[in-house]
Amino acid sequence: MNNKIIRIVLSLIALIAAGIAPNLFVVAQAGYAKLSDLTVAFLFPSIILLALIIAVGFLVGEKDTSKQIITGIFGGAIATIGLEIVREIGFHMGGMPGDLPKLMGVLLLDRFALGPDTWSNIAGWSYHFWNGASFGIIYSLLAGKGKILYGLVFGMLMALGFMMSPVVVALGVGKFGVDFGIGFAITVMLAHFAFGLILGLYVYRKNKSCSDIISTIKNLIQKNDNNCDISK
Amino acid sequence: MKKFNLAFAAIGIIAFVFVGSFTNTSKLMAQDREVVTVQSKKSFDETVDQLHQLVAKNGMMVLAEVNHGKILSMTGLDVKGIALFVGNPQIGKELFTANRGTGLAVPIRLNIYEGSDGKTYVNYVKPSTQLASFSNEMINKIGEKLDQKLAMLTGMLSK
Repeated sequence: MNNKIIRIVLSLIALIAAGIAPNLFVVAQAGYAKLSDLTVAFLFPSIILLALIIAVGFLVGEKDTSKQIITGIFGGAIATIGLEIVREIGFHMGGMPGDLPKLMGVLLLDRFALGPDTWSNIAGWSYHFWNGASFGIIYSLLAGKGKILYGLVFGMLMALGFMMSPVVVALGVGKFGVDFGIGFAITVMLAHFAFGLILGLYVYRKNKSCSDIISTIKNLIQKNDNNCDISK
Repeated sequence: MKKFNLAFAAIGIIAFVFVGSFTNTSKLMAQDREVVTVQSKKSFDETVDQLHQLVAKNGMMVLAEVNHGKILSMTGLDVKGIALFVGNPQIGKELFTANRGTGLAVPIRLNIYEGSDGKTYVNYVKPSTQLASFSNEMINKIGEKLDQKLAMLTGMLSK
């Protein structure tokens, strides 16, 4: 099979698998299902699937795809630290209605009524960081090597998506935090600015291949062999 | 002289009732027809533990617990408050047999909280008040029985 086709197939499956984690919280907050149930049914399988894609990539000689996914995981997780620093400051300054990782934790372990404890906090923070890693995978596969500016745009799109999602409605702050105050929008935008900046920078420095999935599809259609791959 | 003695006795009775009513309010901080509030002599955590035990000893069970304090800690607010939902399957069976809508009133919610004065309180809405709207003699009797049970149970907290 053509390497480009393998690359496209692996990347598309990875994109779908990476898109699952962030959307589970949204689906749960929209009232369609409990996050604890969604975790078992979708989150764990999606993580296993991503691990398999990485392994298959190395096994079939599509190392670039596997490396891009790994770069995305680390880049997203590190960028989440940047996001968290801004979010935590914003939270303590009254710019956020609640502590989202803790909320995720009690929802994950289905113990909202009992409130957070050490284990729910560990679960919540793990999920939060995995969400960051998932966005990192998506960015890494879509942008290839990308540019720092792409990372910033990606971060801003994440912020806008979050502020328009059912999550903010369920939190009672309204879309874009209109029922809470301007501090919410500022905190969310700045936090995702930090996320995008760190992710963009990390992926730009770590991704050896500048070949993203879109250009790979274009090259396949145009039968163009030039994929600007500098790792080979 | 007789008139003087009668007046003296009347003042004595009024004074006795007046002082007696104050003694009562030391246990029941605020009691009206609907909400009963009892001050606990123990700390918040001790009161929660004791209430768990008292509920069990008095033929009821804690069916669910809502930790308001921990939930609100996620918003940055530091308060102590736990609501215990207590009930008894047998009483529940009787109530639901009489009217399936009684799930509105049971299990009974006992709210334990630390006031701004640092003292621990337990308050609840009288079950008889909540069950009165069902206009059923048997349900009303159960409501009154539950009132007595809760009064006895929470009364032990103030001892």
